[in-house]
Amino acid sequence: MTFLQPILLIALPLVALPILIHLINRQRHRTVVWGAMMFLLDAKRLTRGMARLRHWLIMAMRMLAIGALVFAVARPLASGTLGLTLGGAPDTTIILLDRSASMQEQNVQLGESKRAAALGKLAQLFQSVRRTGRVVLIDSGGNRATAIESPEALLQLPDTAATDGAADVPALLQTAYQYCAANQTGRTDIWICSDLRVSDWLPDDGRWAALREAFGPQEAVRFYLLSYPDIAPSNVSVTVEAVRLVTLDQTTQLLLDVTLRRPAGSGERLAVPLEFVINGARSVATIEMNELEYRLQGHSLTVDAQARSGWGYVELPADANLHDNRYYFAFGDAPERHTVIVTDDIRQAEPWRIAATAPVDPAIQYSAEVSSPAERNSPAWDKASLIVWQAPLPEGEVARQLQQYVEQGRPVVFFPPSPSSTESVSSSWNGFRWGVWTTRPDDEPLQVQSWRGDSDLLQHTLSGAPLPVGKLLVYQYCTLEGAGQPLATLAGGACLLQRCAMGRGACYFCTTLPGTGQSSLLRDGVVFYVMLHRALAIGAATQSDVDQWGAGTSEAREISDWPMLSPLPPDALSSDRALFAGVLQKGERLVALNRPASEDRLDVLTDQQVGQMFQGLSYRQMKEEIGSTSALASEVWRAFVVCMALALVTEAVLCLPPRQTEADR
Amino acid sequence: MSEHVHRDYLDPGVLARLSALPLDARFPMLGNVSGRHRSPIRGSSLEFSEYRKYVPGDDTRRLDWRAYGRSDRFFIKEFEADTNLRLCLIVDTSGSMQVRGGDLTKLDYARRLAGTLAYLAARQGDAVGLYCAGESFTREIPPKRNAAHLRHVLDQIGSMQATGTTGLAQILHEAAERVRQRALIIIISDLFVPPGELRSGFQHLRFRKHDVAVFHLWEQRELDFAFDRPIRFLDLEGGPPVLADPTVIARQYHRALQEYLRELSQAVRDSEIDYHRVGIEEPYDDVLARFLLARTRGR
Repeated sequence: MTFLQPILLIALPLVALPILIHLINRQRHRTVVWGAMMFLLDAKRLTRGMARLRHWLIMAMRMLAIGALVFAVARPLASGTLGLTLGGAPDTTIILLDRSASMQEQNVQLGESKRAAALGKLAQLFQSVRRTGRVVLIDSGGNRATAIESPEALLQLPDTAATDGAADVPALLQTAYQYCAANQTGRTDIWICSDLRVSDWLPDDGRWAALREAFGPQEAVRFYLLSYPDIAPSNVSVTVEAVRLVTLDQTTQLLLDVTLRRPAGSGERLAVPLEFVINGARSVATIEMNELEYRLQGHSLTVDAQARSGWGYVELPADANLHDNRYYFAFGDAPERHTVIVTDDIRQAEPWRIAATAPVDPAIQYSAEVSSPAERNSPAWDKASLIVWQAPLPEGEVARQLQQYVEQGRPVVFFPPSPSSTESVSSSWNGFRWGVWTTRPDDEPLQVQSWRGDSDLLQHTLSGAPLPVGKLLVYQYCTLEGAGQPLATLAGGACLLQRCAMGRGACYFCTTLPGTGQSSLLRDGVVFYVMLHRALAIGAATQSDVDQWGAGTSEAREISDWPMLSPLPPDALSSDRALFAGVLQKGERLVALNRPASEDRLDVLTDQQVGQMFQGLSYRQMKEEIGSTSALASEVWRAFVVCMALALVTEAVLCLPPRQTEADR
Repeated sequence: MSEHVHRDYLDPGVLARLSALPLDARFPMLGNVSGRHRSPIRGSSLEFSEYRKYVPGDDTRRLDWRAYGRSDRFFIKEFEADTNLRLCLIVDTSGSMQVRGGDLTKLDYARRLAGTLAYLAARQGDAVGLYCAGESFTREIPPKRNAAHLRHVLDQIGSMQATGTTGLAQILHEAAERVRQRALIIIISDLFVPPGELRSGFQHLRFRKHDVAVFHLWEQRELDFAFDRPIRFLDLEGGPPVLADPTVIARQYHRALQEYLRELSQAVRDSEIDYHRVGIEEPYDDVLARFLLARTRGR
């Protein structure tokens, strides 16, 4: 409980006044010579019990009345339902602000967003309780601690403005912990303003355990979750999934894959006018939404035949969240997806060549060339989107060049040398070394026991369906020495596919060959094909002149000094342009920044999940709604006045002389 | 020693006024000389009692010749015998008698009552004795009826000191044994003794055919117990002092007092005790006048 006039609490010792008066009265006693001691002693004996209890109660009521009076004049503040900040004001208050795009969801009538509502509540709280300790802001945009001078500043700081990025709440808490540890903050209140989206809180992230362990011993730290978990049912978001520039019959067309989403519970039919703006030219297509998700595939827009690149956006009419109504995109000629296959047995290179040149997208050119390890530093490497290396690991200059290639962001997929290869397999590259081949009986091939379906080459499809990795059969595999991130593991624990990050990119090691003698990769085909083309797409992305990244991501921050073609929000700092949706350009290269895809996930943390994340920590959750007029803290002096009145009435009743009985009269 | 004792407790005016009222016993007394009190023995007073038939041996001087003339039979004419009274004054001299109400302590008040009664009894020819009752008999003067004895009694009354605890209940039993002949026993005390113990003492005295009267002395504060702040009560009989808040215990005090008075009333009623509750703020001559008048009417 906090007080507006805490200085008046100095008077709290007055609670002892009735005791003092009682003791003084006892000291002020007269001395009387007395004869009728027998009655006096009888009376003293009889007064034990209820009479004595009555007098203690009278004393307690008097003390309570004085205490309540002192508390009332000190103007106590408390949350009506939460027992806010029980135990006094903290030395430091840290505000963790979720500035993600989803926090911009607003009450359409009031025009107030969740973020603004949370900031307003906090500012009101700090103004009303007049906190004297430090107030520190850590926002999801910058994830750095900034001291706040006054509560009013919360509403005006650029660091509290809306962004189009996501929020990484565990990272914010880590920053808060580092701040607490570095500044020895003493009693600390950590306020987390968020809409509790699972995509921002990442409840399964391993950092939560570390945070619980870090904050656990710090009893002086308390967490307050100022949450806005409600989702506006009328909100519709738009995402551009893919943009392709194709030339058909002398006309250049832009093909857009657009997805509209709306939350569950809004099942009524909805007509959405979708506006396309490309290089300043506008067009509108009206979409009839019957389901929660609508995919507009290959919506074609004719563009200037001479324009080989450009940018634009797709926009929805204003609704509950303005930050998911516009989606920027950039387009340009897709680079040729060229694969270099290095093999010590050129006859066996055919499967890779066929897979790499079979087009995924007809608008993109695919090519492949086969070379032997002896052709050192092939000039084709410069334009290659992917290198498939099925030979002993490179050494010397070739190894260095291959490492440089990977560090630029383009992948290399290593396959083991053929079992029949006569060359030495003892060479190593970056700590990796091929071992010996293990052969399984024909009737007991190995199957994939587990694989990572959440990301990378074996990720589930866009529809969520897993790749048929589990159906693969492996008859021969080569052991691999070296530490990497397993993407697929065979029964028995041997690795089938491993990833090793290097610089901006990564290389992959597949421990079997696609041939029928080694595995069913080629026979089943799907996994092999998808794996190669995903690796190709990764490499091609680094070669393309256009790209599409999430706002606020590390890639976006790297180009935050690029000029922005689209307008920046008026309250945004130009140095923070990486946090906002838009299109940035440097030279021929165009990058469209948008809210990350995770921001369109509508899952909200359950109370149980919150409880698990904060298990062992002192936390309170306040579920608020936009436009709620209840203050986080309000004056409760009336309650103390009522308490005082009740105490006085009780004291008066207890002081009434006992009703005389007939015998007494 | 007697020359040094002041008899300021005797007021000549009061004595003169009360002299007109006799001190009578409620029951017949057995005296050794003729007096103004009834005796259970037939005597030669002027008060006719009854006729009875003459039996040989009767004093022929008591024959009623007129009755013989009318009935030709011999009748003896009998008269009441009047005798003197033994007045035994038992005065409580325990520490609690130091309690002061107004100008007088209870002991002062007891002196006035006892001195005046002793004087009045001696003046009408009765024997007067004095027993001072502390924890036991501190002084014991058997009743006698000469003037020198009265002076001695008055001297002792004047020199009484209130001190120590009270042993009144036991003293009543002892008095019942020591005063062998019927007597008027007047007890002057605050009676701070459990009524049950007093009851047996009273009954013992009544068993000995004594006429017992009690002056129960009270100081008004003892009845009211109207204090408004904590008081340290000093026990005059030597007990430890008691610190108490009268506002807290007043109700229980009055309850204990009422219970005591109820039991005491029952005891004196059962024992036919002439009981007088006396506030020491009252004029003692009024108290004595009421006492004497009541006895005169009861004769």
